[in-house]
Amino acid sequence: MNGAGQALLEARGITKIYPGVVALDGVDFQVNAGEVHCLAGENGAGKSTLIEILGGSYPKDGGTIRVAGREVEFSSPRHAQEMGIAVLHQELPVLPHLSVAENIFLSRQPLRGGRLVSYVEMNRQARRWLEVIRADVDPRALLGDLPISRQQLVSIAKALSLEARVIIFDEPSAVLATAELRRLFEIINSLKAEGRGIVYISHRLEEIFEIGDRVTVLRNGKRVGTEQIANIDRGTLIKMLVGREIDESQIGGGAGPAERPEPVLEVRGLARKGVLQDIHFTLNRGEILGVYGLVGAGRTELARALIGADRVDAGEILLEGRRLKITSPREAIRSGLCLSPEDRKTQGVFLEKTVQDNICLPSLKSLKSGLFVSYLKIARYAADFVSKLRIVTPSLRQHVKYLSGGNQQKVVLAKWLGMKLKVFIFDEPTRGIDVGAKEEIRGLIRGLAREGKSVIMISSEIPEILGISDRVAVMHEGRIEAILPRREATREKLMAYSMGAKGA
Amino acid sequence: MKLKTNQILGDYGLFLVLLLLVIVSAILSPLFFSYINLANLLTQASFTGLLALGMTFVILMGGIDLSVGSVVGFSSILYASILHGAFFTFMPKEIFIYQGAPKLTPILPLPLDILFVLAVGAVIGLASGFLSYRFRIHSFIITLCVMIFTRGLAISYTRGQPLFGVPDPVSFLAYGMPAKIPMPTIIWLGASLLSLLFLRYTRFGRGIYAVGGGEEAARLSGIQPAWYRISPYVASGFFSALVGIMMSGRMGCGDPKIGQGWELDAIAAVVIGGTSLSGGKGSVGGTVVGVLIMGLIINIMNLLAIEAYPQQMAKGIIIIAALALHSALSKRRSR
Amino acid sequence: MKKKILLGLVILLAVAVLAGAQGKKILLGFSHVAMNCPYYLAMDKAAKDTAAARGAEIIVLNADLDISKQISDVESLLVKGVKGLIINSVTEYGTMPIIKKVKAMGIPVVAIDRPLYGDYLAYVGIDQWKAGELQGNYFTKTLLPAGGNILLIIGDPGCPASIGRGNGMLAILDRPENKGKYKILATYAAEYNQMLGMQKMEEGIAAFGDKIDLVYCANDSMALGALDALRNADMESVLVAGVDGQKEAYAEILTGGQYKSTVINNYWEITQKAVHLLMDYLQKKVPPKTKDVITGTILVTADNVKKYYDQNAVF
Repeated sequence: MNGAGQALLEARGITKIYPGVVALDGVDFQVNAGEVHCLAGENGAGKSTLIEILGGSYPKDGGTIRVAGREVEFSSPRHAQEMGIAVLHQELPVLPHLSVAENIFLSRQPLRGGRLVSYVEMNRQARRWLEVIRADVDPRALLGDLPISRQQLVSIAKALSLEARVIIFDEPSAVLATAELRRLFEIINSLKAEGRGIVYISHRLEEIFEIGDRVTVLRNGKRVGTEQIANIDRGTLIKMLVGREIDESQIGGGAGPAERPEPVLEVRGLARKGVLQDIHFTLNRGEILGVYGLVGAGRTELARALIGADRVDAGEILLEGRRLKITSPREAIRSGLCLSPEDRKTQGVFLEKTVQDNICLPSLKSLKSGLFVSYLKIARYAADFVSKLRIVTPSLRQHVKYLSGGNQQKVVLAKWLGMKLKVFIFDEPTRGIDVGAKEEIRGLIRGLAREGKSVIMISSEIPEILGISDRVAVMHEGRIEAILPRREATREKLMAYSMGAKGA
Repeated sequence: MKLKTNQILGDYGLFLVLLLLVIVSAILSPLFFSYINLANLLTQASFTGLLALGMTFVILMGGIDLSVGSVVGFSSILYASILHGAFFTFMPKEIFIYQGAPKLTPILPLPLDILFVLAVGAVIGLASGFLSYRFRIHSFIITLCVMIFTRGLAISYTRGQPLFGVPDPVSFLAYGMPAKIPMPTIIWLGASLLSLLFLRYTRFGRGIYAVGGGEEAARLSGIQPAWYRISPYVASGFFSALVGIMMSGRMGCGDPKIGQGWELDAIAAVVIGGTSLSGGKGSVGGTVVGVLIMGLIINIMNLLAIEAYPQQMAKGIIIIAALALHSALSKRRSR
Repeated sequence: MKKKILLGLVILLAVAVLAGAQGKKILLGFSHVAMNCPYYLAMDKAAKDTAAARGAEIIVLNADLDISKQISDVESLLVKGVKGLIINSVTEYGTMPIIKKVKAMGIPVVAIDRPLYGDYLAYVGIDQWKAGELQGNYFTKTLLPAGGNILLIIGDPGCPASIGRGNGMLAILDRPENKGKYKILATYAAEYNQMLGMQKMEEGIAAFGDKIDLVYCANDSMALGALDALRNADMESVLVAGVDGQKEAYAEILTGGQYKSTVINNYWEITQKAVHLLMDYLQKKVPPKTKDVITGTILVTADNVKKYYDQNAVF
């Protein structure tokens, strides 16, 4: 392998122009052997475009790329792979109906007798690569049957099988829970030790500080700066990212519960076979209840059960003392509960519809004039929220799919705000959103609590949970292991309960 | 243990249904196991089977080919007209009026005639695939247009009348019984076997599954989708032309009207066989079983003298039942 | 293994039972071209009634105008073990190979209505060409002696009935004394179906309007449909003529309105004759006197319609 420090991939002055917007403006980026170079920036800053170019998917409009000192022009992703550059996309490109081994060796299947695919050989080689990263995956299993975290391991195995010297990870942690993330970092470290160059893109600052050797920040298509991780602190990084100071100390502390806790939502004995067991908790007025847990702990299932999206086998839910019989989301909404789902793009908004349509959908009944829906009222209603929540959009008629993640999340929030709802459930509201927008969303949620609404917030980011919640519930395998008041909640306790330590 | 049962049902459910049908047929009618009935059953299934074979390629790619029936009719008259020395030009009267066995004056020597018609079928498929790919129009629309156009061309070329006169070797294709097995069945199963091996053991074949199952993922792995997207239609056109020639042998003449509605039978067989209409999932083996299942059901209805129209109703119900079965089986599998 | 034995026993039992139940009745097969209009249905009924009267059983299969289905139907009938076959072919050539096969098995074949090319016992039907000629003469001599524009609606371009009825009439128009007096505005195909006949007539009205003097249809069903279209368009002076002798057509001719003539094509008679011929051959080994049995081809107009009109006839 190459000696540490040698430049494996050098990009200089990369420019990419789309009609109406300069996506990349003279960006320099370099990856050395044996290092993890993090790439950070707000959504829309140009990270994705840069790696698509480095990966050979898109052509560049300007600049040069050098691989191991030689200048190259990538003609296709395949070409880049042959040169040793592999990109592991955030949305894993998978062929779910083909086996793991086939996915790894697609179009490069080992042949027997010069022309026939040899499954025996293919499975053998696949098994070898999977063992290198200690992945417990059967090469003959269908990729679509595996959970996403395993699929990700398969794509890493694929990159290795391509003998890639530069491996680019695009937001790998977005789909992983804590334990799996640990494993990923172990793998990255061993790749690093082999002298490969790693590019790691993430929004999560802790990750960048934990795994990275260097970090490059992009903003609006330009390179803001490249620093050694050892030389900077969180504040500096945030400043580079956002361009302004954000006082992180403000993040701590929720609105705090009122003097006398007043229960708004009481859940008793909620259960669903194989998924939820014996869920008991109370939610007070003006409170933010954080819910933490690993992937698969049942948090999303709990949210869906509360909202009537999934059926329950047992248990009861009381809202302000009244017993609720919720069998569908519509009834839940009528009773005063709403959900901002984890999968924002497919379940939270209608990508193909406009901002105003999305915001107004649940409230259409009240936006009528006579028998028909009044577009005038809709526009006014939507405009009101766009300005209140500071949603960045060229117009009310912009299709939501063109908005950034943060603004899409605001649209989801706006949808519910206008209705007289009492309980708001948020499932990972700040996932996949850049730092500045995350903070805005959290501020809006805090604002809800201050107004006397009650909030359940599911999150996988411990600092966020600790920063926003009044109390924290920790789930593990379908049960709530503990509910801790803020002052008693520490990172270690949360992790312990989430992994199964029994509550007091 | 439960997982095992579900897995077996998922993988072999289709075969079990086939076996069940055979048993039920045998019980319902004593004529079922007669040699002549089984020979008929296989022969009739072979024509649908060849069309379904081509259709499997197309559906694996996430597309559909509605033109197969029309190409069958068109190939049949193209072949007959070539045998009489005419090619979209004036046609001798013998073609239309029977005056004893006609003297054939083929444009090309016999085997080349067949190859020519097969090539024309392949070219029609190529056009469909190319237009669909290049202009990003769904194959449903393109092949619908080809279907209407080709049928119209065939009927207007012959003014709706059949063209008489087909040589003996071609009759053999339809009626021959080497080793007591109907020739069409040998052709069908042989072609199916070759296709199965091709799809399973060549890189190109695996590429078809890949492009059909996720073009973007395939592209990122270095596959250029163009040829993969177009070639299934070439195969479909080829097999349709083959069926057209074989039908000419069966009827002793070319007929521009045959094949109407056959595309739906082909699609039904492919779907019953487990190939997903969204592409990337399925197999030739499944299609063969699907063809046999449909053939068995039609056969038993014939033996029980059920009218033609109720038979259509039964076909519709069967297709829905098959789809529901597949959906249930695949859900069980992934538990 | 147990399953196979059980299966075998069940089959044997079933065969025994069915063989016993079969009795001594002769089984006939009738491969019919279609069942989509009244006279085909009438043929079906006639066949069943006549067979029953002769103490035989007959299976009627409907090919629905699809030649490949007809080939399959014949194969099915062979499986069922029919001793004699009546066939009304979708096309004359398409069934040749399969009829060869039937003959090779020693089963006699009678062709009815549509001609068949091949080796058959007898053909029973009307002379389609003559029907056309009769109508042609009626047009030129009686209905439009001074000439006129004619719209032609045939059933199916490949079908011998259409060819005969149409071209027979055209042959009369082509005679030297008639040359130049008559013009065929257009030829439509309406599959012998009444509703399609009406649709095609509407198209003709839209295309030619007042120019039409007479519309000649290859069968009465289509002609009745055309009549409806003309009435809807208030074109009561356009003359209508058909072929077959359907009782509704007789009723129209009786009223003395625009429907002027038809030619008898008695499906009942044809089918009866065919069944009798077949049974005579099978039971008494008597071959038919002539190979082509042509039933009466008679022109029916207002003059003689009373003789043939029977309200209660099946057809």
